[in-house]
Amino acid sequence: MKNFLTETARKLAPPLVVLLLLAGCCPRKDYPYGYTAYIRFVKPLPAASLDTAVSFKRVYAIGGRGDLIDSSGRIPRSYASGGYPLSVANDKTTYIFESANQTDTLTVGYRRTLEYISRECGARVYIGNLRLIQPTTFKKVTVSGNAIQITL
Amino acid sequence: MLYRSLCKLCLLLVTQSVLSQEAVPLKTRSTPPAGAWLVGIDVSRALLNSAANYGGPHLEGIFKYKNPNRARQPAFTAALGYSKTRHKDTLYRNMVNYRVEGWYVKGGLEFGKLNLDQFTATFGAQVVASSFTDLGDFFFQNGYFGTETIVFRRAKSLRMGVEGISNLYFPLGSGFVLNLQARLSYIFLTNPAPAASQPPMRYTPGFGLTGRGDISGGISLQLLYRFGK
Repeated sequence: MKNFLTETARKLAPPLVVLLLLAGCCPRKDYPYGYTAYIRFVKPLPAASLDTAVSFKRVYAIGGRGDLIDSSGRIPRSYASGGYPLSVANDKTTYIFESANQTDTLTVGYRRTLEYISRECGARVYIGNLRLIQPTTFKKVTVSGNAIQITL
Repeated sequence: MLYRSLCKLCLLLVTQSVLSQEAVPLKTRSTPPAGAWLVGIDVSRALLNSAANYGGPHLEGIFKYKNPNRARQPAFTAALGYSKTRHKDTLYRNMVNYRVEGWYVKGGLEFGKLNLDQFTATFGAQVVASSFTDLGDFFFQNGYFGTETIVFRRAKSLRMGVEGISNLYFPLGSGFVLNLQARLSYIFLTNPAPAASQPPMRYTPGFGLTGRGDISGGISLQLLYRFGK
């Protein structure tokens, strides 16, 4: 009996290793690099330095679920690897920033590339070429890579 | 003496044999191969498509012609089909609702005695051309936005191939004939060829289920009606 089990294990080991290796070919997530934009708010100060401490009452993306800010009212820096989530169903995502005095909007456009990987892994989507889509209520917005800086 | 007896016996046997052959009446010739137009539909595709895991209309009209005066000539066979299918299962891990719509034509020759008055088997070959579009929904779990979908839509494709067929004809009476057809296809042209970043063509009208491979096969049941003799 023991010999039989040993022999069976020996026979099954190579195909199992191959299966494990193949299983590892699939990306662990559908969005390995994250569908995110890194948005940073800055306030120019008289001393020529920048203040990044900005609070909003409510921040959300159209089509998303709930708020993007934490209980302290700050933009959560840890959301989705530190960025703002981007919708993959559209070529743009619109964010609404509500503060005590006003409501601002920012629409980020991008290019989506769908890539089929394999029957087992399916397809995944890449997002690139982030850009600002006008109009926006913010005075100054600069986009570089997937980083967006908003100067208040 | 023995030699003479043997010779006589042989002569007797040969004579009897010849006489007996003459005595047997000529064998009646079987019904000559019928010359006829056969028109019908593929029953199995129409029924299976609505019942199987991928539903949708699939109509295939079949035409066959056999010259009554040329028994040795092959019969001409052709088909025209339209297919619109929606696959209900999940393909490629994160694709659902794979849809295919298109037209196809088939034309070729069938060899063998096509005698429609009795059970007949023939074999043949035909060329198949299929023009279709296919699309599907890739879904992604995207945290804050929930499950999102991207529709993959391929440009119109043309696929051509050759098909080996074997037919078993069962006369049903009153002019109706049932044909059980087995086919094996090889696709030699796909235009435009799908890019490596695109999913394979899972289903091709006229060929059936296909993948990255170029070979497909299947069995279908055709109901035909015979016009003429």
